[in-house]
Formats: sequence, structure tokens, C-alpha cells
Amino acid sequence: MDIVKNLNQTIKHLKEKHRKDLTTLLPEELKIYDAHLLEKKEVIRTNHLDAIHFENQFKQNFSVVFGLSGEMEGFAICRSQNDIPQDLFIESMNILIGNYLSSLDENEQIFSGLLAPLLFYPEKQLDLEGQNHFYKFSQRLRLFMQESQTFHANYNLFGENKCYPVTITFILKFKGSEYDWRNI
Amino acid sequence: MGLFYLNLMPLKLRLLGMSNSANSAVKILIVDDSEFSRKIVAKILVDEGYNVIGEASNANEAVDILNSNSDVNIILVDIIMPDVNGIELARKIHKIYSDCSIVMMSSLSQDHIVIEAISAGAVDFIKKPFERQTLLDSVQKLSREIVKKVEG
Repeated sequence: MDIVKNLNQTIKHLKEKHRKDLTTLLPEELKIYDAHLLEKKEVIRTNHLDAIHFENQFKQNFSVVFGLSGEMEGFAICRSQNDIPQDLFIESMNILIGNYLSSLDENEQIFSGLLAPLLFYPEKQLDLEGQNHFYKFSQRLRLFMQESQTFHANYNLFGENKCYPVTITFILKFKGSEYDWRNI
Repeated sequence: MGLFYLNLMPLKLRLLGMSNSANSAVKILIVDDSEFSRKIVAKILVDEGYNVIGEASNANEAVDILNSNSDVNIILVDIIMPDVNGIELARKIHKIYSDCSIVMMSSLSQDHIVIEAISAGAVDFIKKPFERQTLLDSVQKLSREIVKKVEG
């Protein structure tokens, strides 16, 4: 049992040592049925954000949060302007992040799954259910952000004859090889 | 007997080639929490004459539809859904409605997930986003098998 544990730790260490810049595997462009996602500019790394930043964002804009579970765990927080067609936004983010995770597995052998999205509607913050939902997630995010890495990727989503700017913030932590993507 | 055979041949060929009218005999259920995705899949299939008997946004709705339409031939199931994911749903459906062909759809296409989907009973896996023809190829292939089975 100890041999297996040691071997897992060595593999984890080697993976961390030789890992490429994982942001380079983000799709630059994706055609999503009748819509189109195009990367706008370089990925931005940041250490200056905290959970309060996102709590304020959730109060202002419709936001979609995907949980990531597996060897790489964390959150992908997707924001755009309030007039974006919500269903197109959710599905295009699902496809973009899902394709990114598939690419991480294929190129870097890092396996992570994607969980069903959490939706934050600014107007829902006013009712009790919305406040509970928001409070629980904020608590999780506050704890998680203490030990994770953060980067933003900006895209333009072209759909329904309009262009919508989209920002995805990845808040990630490399967990290692014990995973179960269905567990959240 | 020879005349009867000759008269039936074009019909049989048409069925195997799956004309639009033959497609209407194939009953399809779409399960996806994204309405956007369901509408796109339904439109592609309806345009080709398939009989989309229902759309479900989660596993419970899917099971309800299946309980009142047990003769569904093909179910297209998204994997990432709230509460019960598509793989768990496929496992459940495969146990109860083993004649029904399950096609998984997902933006995730890692080997682990594809293998898990197939072992849950899926017969095909379509990576999102897909081209119209990719979806039709999968459904057409299954439809031909269904028609062959019905014809005995």
C-alpha cells in the first residue's frame, strides 16, 4: 500500500515539475452551432482578486459558474453583459470549458470533469432562496481562493447577430490523482 | 410471388436508405438541461423527418416521458446535468428499456468518460459542439438497425 502511495506521489511530483503552461491549451476559437467564440486577447494571471470581487459581480451581472472536479479542481466563473441570450451563453461556456478539460487530459494527462452550472441572477439576490444559494457559494469560494491560482480569459461570443464580450475566470487547484468527477 | 417481391423491393430499399417518411417511424427523446442545445438537436432531426416525441431537461422528466412512451427507439442524452448526470441516467434507462439505443452527447470527451458512458449502456458518443451531419450519421446508423430489427 505504501509503495502505491509513494508511486502516486512521485507521479504527482513529476507531473507538477514538467507541466506546461496550462492556459495555452484554452481553445482560441470555437464554432458552436450557429454561434462563434473567439479568444480576444492574452490570458491574464492575477493574484489580486478575492471572493468579494466575485460577490459584487454576481450582484450586478448574470453569471454562470461551473465546478471542476478531479485532478484539477476549482471553478470557472463566466460573466458577460446582462442582455446576452442566457441559454446560448451557458451552453457555449459548457462547450468551451468541456473542450478545455478534454484537451488537458489529452495533452497533459490531467483528468478533470465538469459539473452542472450554478446560475446567479442579480434579481434573485433579493429573495431568500437566492440569498441562501449565493451565501453558500460565497463561503465555498472564500475558502477555496486561499489556496488556488487564478487566471482570466476573454472571448467574444458572436451569436444572434450580435457580439457579446465574455470573461471566464478560472480558479484552480492541482489536487493530484485521487478523483471522482461525479462527487459534487 | 415474384411480382410481390419486385413490388416490395423499392420500399425495402427506401427503408434501408431511410427516406424522410421512414425516419418518421423512429421515435427519439432528447435529454439535455440546455434548452438551446435541445432546440438545435430537435430541429436537425425534425428537418430530416424523425419523430422527436419529447424533450426533457433532466433525468426525472426523461423517466416520466419514457414511462408513458415505452416504444422510444433512440435517446440522446447530455452528460453534464444537475442532480442525476447523463451517465447515471443511461445506466438506469439501459436496465429498464434495454431495446432503446442511448447516444451520449458531451463537451467532455476524455477516454475515461467515453468508456464509462459505453459501459453504462450507450451505443454512441457525440462530442459537443458537433456538425449537423455527425448527429445525423449517428441517428441514421441506429435507425437502419432499428428498421432491420423490426423487419426481422
